[in-house]
Amino acid sequence: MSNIDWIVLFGTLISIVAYGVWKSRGTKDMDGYIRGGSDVKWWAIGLSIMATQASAITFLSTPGQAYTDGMRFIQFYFGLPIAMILIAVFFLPIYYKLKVYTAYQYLETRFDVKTRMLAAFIFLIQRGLGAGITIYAPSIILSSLLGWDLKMTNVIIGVLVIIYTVSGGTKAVTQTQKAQMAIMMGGMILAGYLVITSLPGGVGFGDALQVAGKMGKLNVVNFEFDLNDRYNFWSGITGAVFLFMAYFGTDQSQVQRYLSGKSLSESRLGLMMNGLLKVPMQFIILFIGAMVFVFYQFNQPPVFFNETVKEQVYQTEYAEDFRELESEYEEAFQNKLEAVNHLTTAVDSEDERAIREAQLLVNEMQANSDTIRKHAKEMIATAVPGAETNDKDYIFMTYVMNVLPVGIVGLLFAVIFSAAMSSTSSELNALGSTTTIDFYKRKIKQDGDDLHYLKSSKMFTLAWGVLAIIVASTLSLFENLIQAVNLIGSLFYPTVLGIFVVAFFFKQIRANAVFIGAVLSQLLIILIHYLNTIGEAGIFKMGFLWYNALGCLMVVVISYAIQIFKNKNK
Amino acid sequence: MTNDSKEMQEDKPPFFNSWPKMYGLLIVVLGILILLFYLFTEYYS
Repeated sequence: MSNIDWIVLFGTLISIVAYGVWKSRGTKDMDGYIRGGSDVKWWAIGLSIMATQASAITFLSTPGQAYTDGMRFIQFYFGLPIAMILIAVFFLPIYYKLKVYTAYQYLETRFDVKTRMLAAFIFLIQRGLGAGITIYAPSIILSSLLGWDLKMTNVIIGVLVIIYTVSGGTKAVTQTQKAQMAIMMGGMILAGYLVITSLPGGVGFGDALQVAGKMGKLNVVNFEFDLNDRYNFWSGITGAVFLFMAYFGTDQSQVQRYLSGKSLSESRLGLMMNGLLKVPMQFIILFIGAMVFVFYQFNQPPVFFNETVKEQVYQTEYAEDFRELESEYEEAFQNKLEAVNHLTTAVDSEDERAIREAQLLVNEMQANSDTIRKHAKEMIATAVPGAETNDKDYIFMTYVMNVLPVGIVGLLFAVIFSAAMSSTSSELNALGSTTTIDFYKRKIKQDGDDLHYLKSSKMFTLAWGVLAIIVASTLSLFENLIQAVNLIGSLFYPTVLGIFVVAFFFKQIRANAVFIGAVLSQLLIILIHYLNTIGEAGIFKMGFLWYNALGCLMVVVISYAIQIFKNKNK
Repeated sequence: MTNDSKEMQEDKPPFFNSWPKMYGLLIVVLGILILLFYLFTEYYS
């Protein structure tokens, strides 16, 4: 990167931190620290909710997802607006009525303290590990792209977030997220424009759409029902609703965002804003990935996008073989380029037969290129054991670094860092609040004054921040950890959601029944997952997304059955 | 009726007269987006 890019990157990050500290400097009580003074406007709540969900991986992985698999990932978000409505109708009024600081406080009012503790404990475990991953996942990619030490990248992201989150709490998080969202969306829209203008002369926007479409990258919607297909209309509109209800309705890192609202209306509108904008936002990010794919139909792409891993291969006995594969890939690209040019000519001539023939040829050649890429990945796995062979997270930023002009590169790195910081800050903020309110204040010290709890919240937030950096710095010792944490989310979210569903809709079910039901359901979900993964193919196959619906349903059914049994025995 | 529950009942969105209309709008927008995405997929495939 050039000096200008470094100035843009660090200038942006330092400005955000300073802005957050300055805007929240008057925070002197618990309400201000945990609920942001309860005076946040709906649009700021909406931005804060979106910024919390949009992690760095959103901007690193999503364009790569479109590049490799097309735009069908967007269907995962179809359930989000429905979940927003359900939360606005059922969850939010109760949180407001009880004036809670955390979602789990409500469970004590409705059930008992042990149910509250169970839900809060699950949150702390899951989100505590999640905060480490939110730092680690982008660090591993950014450190590779920027040539930084991995641990140093973890510390930079972690310390920047800790400074403003500990000092200003929810107010600092919300204020910085407004700036971060502006940088993220502005940066991505600019990137989208530049991707389209970077296409070679003679290839217009219409041609780019035709090439992407004919090569299967504009596969936005698929109405075919298939349980094994992770992303289709039906899984998005059903299974994902449960996941989003659990995440937005019961995860304190999100609940804390909308509880900072000035009124119930402001919070509801914030949720509606998220429901309206999230799908188009994901569309834009995926579309950029599809356009990067088109760019690389006219310009030679690398056979593997992670340069650091490639350099490692060059140091092994496989270097010569790998270089041969690279030459083969370049040759395949030249042949494909000719076919792609034929396709654009056929499209311009509107000759249906010629279009079909050219499409077949292009896709055949793309399959050939994909096979070479697959061989390259296999060779990497052999040459550098333990190396990550999935390079889709590197595609977009490789394009950015190699093609986009000076200044914009720094801005887009600032987008990625901002996204990492925005989601991490919400997580630390929520972890500190939950530890203080649901454990420290409830069980350890009940007679402290407001100032004491304010100081405790800051200390707990700091402790979680330090822990997140430590977790992030030790994660490289394990394999497939990102996948493991996503799995942990799918394993534990449904139980917490199930407890809340029982609390809202099944008034006859009491505390002991739901507690036993939740513990049993949790064990059953773990057993189901074990059966799902045991052996080569598992005893049966079920996507993670369905755990959310199944687990939630099990909590309801088992709790209900236990309550009936208890009533009969009375 | 407590002040809190009064406040909840009087809570109205600034853009429409009632929350169900707001929710309806969100569903309609989602439906339109899915329809447009479907047409987009079909047209360019």
